[in-house]
Amino acid sequence: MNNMLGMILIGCMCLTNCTAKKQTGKDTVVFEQFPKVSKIGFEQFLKFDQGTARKLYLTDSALIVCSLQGGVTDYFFYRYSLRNKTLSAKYVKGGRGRGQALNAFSSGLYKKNTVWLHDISLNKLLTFNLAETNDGDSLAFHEYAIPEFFYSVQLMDSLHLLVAGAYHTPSKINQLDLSSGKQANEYGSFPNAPSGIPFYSWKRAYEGFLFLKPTENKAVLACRYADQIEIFDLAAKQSKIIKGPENYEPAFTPMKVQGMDIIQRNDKTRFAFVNGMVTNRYIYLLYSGNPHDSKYQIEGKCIYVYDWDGNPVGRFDLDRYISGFTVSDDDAVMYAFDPATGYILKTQFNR
Amino acid sequence: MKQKIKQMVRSMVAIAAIVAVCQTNSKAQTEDLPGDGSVTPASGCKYTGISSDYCVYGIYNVTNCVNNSVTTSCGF
Repeated sequence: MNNMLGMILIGCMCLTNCTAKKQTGKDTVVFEQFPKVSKIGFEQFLKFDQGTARKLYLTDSALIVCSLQGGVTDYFFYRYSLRNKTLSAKYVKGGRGRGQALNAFSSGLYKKNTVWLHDISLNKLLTFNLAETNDGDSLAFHEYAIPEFFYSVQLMDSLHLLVAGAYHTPSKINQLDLSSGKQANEYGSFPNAPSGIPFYSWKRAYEGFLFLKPTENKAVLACRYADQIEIFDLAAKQSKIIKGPENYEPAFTPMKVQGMDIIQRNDKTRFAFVNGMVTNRYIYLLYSGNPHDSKYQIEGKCIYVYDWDGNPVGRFDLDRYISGFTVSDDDAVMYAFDPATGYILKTQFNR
Repeated sequence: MKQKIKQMVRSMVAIAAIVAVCQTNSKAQTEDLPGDGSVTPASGCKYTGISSDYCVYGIYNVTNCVNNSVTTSCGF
């Protein structure tokens, strides 16, 4: 079983040509099937009893787990030793004070040493350095006011955020200067919305999760309501849309609330990508495909894998639903969270 | 008789505990909205329990909820 992923990762480039793929335009590719489908089984790694793990991050020696319930229960981040699986630190208490947060709408681990969190209720970005101390309560936090709403963000460096899903700008993603709060570069534009659909409802229907390649020259936006991703070359300011394998559009009903054009999910709405992570080689996206009102709303049972050139590499069919996961830098080990049992899971990919 | 009463009390306590857990789970994080600290329903928001959902409520963004065309309160 574990050999399967290794085979995919090593052989992906040659297999990519075998993908049933249709080139529909210079910047858009539609494909109908992945070149390889593998079944992935997990083993239990450690019990996580701090709510639902939404995000997992790896350092050289630790697993950092971001809990969904951080604002309600105890802390948002928990640090476990990879070697002996013990809890070594907790970070970011729930609350409105400095160094506290109400939600971790987006979060990340930058350069293996800086944890960041975007709180959309308090409109702030909070960062702290893992190397400073193991004691979460005496950490030095940095906080930045975020002037507008953004659906998904990624920390680029200590000075900039890459942001997606803004209501006030027609571009797909923007770069935000943290010190001034001003937006600089814009990337990607939406075609005109179909007749009868307000532009910002159309934009909202294509909202998604943003991930930044560790080398910081590319980013990917994975749609919530369509099996579509877009890869941005940030230096060249070009992008490529990859649709498939089902190639469905978002199903929604436009609505207006407080003067804003937004969307309402309807009985045809499906969740597409629900989570993800990236390495320098691959884009890993947790895929749902379920109706929006199904039992599994934040979980997925398969992972779509692409390379950074936009080639579909493979699909992993998991042996259970997971809510969050991470993959090691060398694409050799995956950790995931099983909300049904509360266990962090592990699988190793032998090459 | 005493035994029966004891059993009834135990059952009631169990039910109360289950209700409390359900109520806690159905609460959106609007409870912690910045402001005067009071618990205020986010009218116009519908609770989904999906962490990547949000609802615009006045000047605040509320997670685990979506804006709704029918007036409802999110979570509590």
